[in-house]
Amino acid sequence: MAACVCRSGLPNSKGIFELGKQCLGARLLSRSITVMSSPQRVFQRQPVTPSLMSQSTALQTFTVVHTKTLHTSSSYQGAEEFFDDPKNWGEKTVKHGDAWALDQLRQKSNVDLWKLWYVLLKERNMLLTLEQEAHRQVERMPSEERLDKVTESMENLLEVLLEREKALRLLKTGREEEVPGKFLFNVFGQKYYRRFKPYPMPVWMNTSFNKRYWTFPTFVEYYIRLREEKHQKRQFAQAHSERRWWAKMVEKFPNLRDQKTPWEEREEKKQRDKEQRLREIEKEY
Amino acid sequence: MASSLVFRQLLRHRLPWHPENPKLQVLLTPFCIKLVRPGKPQPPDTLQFRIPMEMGKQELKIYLEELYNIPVADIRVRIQMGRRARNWQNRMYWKEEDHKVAYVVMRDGQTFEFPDILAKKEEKTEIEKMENEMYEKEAVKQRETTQRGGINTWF
Repeated sequence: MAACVCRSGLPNSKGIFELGKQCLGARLLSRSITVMSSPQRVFQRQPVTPSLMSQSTALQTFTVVHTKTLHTSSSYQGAEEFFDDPKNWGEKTVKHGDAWALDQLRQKSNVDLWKLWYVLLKERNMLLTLEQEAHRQVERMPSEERLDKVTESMENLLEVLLEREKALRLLKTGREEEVPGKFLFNVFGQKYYRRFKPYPMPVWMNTSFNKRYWTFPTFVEYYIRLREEKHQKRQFAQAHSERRWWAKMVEKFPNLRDQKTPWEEREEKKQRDKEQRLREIEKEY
Repeated sequence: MASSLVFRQLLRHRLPWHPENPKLQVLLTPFCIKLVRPGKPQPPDTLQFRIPMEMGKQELKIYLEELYNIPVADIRVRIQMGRRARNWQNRMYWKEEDHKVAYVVMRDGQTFEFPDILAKKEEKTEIEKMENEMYEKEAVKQRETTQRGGINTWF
């Protein structure tokens, strides 16, 4: 399957096919690549027979050119791609591969990722149609984990692309984020992140902008304090309820006294993640 | 990589229009559509899709023609409000999602009929087949005995 697709002349895409057999979208990859590489999309009509030709010379002669090699029916030429292989119709489970992991996607070039995005998109469309039909017929969708895997791989793909873009931007401009922003206080004393917007008018001319409150007046400090107190109360209440629950569990199962409490575990996990991230950053340098 | 790879059209902050500004470049479409079995019978050349709310007719046309090679003559679009569903036992209420429905008319006399995807294939195992045969035989015997008035076939 991979060999016959490579002949269609996509030199950069060899990388996909090596791992593509194991990963999701392999079946659709070949189909979609053939579609994208087919140069002729000619109007498709009923085949022109000699009888028709003799009757009306005004008929425009369109040749029937099928550039797709997959199916031969003339009806619903493109809409078949919204459905699975007909062999899989009516099955309880369908064999499929794993989702694309971040490390696997990082090895691919941008062009490969761009193509893979559309492959995954088409697969996702197919699975969504299947899901909707299953809802309609009040039946179970065969292997619904495929949808989760496809969405996961699409998200990973985006993440990889954004990472690369961020790195390039850092090198070129020194900025991390695409749109500059700032943390500001609003009139109620709440902190929020404002993303800057390009305006056609300069700031010093924009009177309505300059009349806005960019900080809170002094009488608001009292209400800020009340808000913080409320927040803290809630936090304490949650921690307190957790401690009471833990005490109940320890009463029932005394061996838990030797184990760590869940809040201690959470803090330790945070520390461990922080240290691991620092170690990763040090490795890169 | 001169421009951003992310779909700019969904960014909230757009550059104000100027002839010298770079045009919107869509390199990755985030839109997923689904083909849907029509509730009311449609003419044979129409496809019914469910579309994200942010998508328009022209975008759908380009989407179908580029990705799926479906020649499009006409598209009609409407927004369907999701119904308020409820669980009678729990008294749980929720609202189903709003979605956009598109009716796409295909060019050049192409037809489409929504296929039966979930028709189960009846594959019985050998044991099940043998069991069925046995049941059938016993049923036949029962019929014979009832015809003969409850007397066995030994006589």
